[in-house]
Amino acid sequence: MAMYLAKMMNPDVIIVGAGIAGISAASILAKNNLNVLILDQAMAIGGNLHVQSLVTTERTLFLKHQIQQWSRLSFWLNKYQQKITLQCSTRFIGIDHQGTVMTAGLSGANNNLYKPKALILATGATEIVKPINGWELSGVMTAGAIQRSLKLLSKPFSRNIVLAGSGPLLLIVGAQLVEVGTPPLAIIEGGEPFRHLLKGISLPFNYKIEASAYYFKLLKARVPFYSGAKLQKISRNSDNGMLNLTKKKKSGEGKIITTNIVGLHDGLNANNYGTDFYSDLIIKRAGDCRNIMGAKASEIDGLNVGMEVVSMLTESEVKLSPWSGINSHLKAQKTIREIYKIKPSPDMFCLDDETIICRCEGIKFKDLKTVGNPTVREARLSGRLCMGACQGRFCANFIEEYLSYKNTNQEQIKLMGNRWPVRPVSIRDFVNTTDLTSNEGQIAPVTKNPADRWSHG
Amino acid sequence: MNLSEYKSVMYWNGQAIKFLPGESLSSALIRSGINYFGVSPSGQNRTLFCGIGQCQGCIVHVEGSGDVEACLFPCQQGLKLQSINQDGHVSGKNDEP
Repeated sequence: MAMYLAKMMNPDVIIVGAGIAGISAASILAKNNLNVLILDQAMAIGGNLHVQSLVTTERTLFLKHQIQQWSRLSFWLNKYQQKITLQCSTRFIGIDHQGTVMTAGLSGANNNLYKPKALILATGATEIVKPINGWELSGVMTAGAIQRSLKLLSKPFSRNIVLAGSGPLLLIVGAQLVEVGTPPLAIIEGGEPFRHLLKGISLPFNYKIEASAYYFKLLKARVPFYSGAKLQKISRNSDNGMLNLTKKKKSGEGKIITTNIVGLHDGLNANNYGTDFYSDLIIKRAGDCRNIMGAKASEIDGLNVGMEVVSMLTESEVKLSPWSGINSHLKAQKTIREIYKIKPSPDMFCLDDETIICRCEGIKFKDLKTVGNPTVREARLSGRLCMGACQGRFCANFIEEYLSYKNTNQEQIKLMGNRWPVRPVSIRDFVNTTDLTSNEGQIAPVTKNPADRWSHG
Repeated sequence: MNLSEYKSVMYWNGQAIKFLPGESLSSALIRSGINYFGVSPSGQNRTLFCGIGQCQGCIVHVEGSGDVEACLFPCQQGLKLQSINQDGHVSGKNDEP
């Protein structure tokens, strides 16, 4: 991979996120002669699926079609490296009312102000995690965090891991843990995917192959897989400092599992809030952050969104059909959700009163029960719900479902705010910014053959 | 885990922590058996949770850089990290052994 040097100029388009959709969008923008800056707060590019480790070149946890996709994306990055600037460990801080974008590097570099003509958010999905009594204990993390660590190191980071929640990611991470030699002690799945397996017949062939491969890997390693089961409580074992997990099956029988690490996961949500503001800046979202669509569809979506921005910036009157194929992937994602669907049950909201609901602010279930039937504003300002540093990313989902369940006949309120995570940004970061807003980039003239702008094979 | 192969060292509250070049702070800390990173202003445990900078739960103090997400910040030779207490002050244990 070529090294990308920061070019001190104002880009035409800024893309937040160097994952599938971001790189895909950048490639079509660059092909149409637009200057692009891609930012990513991570050290490694590739987003979550293709995370390109800086520690190892091993890619044993990547499947063949994933490696092929990355080869394609990195080919385009290299081909258009004169037009694309890539900055890692650089955060998108925000946009002011005039459309000025601020970025800040984690170590103080790349603190810049830009005035792009368009901004594309390609930040990927956010994990849904339902609150569990004891989930705030250290050693409890998301299954996604475990997966990212495995991909970055290609080696175990801990033994004694239990995965719990619901969704195909538990199978995938479980299989990846087997691959690195630390099979999970158990997978506790709330849904009953094997009961609804027939629904999976309509899934595309490679989805079925991939799922089967993961499942047989777990079967071969004899990983206990409990379906229709729920993790009820996590507590610290005072004798050995490990975590005790209380697991409950539908039949009511319980079991205690002792472990060091718990990986929780209850599905994926789009990450489509933040940056509601007023200026002439064009803002688009692409990939999983717009709508959960998976890897292949994210690549197509990036191309389509990129082309949309090209059309807007170059005022082309030519309208061409976008790349197709997204709908079949959206349909597949919907089918997968149906396979894993957990039937609502009376004990869905039977949590211990002391269960932490808001990880940021420490709001407990007993506090949530007193909230009543609030408007969004009341819930946030009086209830202090979704007002912590994560701005609702890890609590809004459960709170909205609970309030909707409690206040039947009311439309489910939407608590997610308009803000990015509230992250530490020092005054020094603001003071040390370099103003690049007046270094104008050049907008490309419309090409003579409009079809050229689309060809990308 | 055999840590003897790792040559690079940084410091967590004065304790030497080996890391692999290219690794994040949280990755090195957890492999060294440390997954408690301090206390937030609201009294919650600071620890690795989402791993991608969204939950803001793994904030630690890095000398020279301020408060950062441990899951995003790269390890560097000789880096000094401290946990942050509930009152916002760092732990104060920053002497190399």
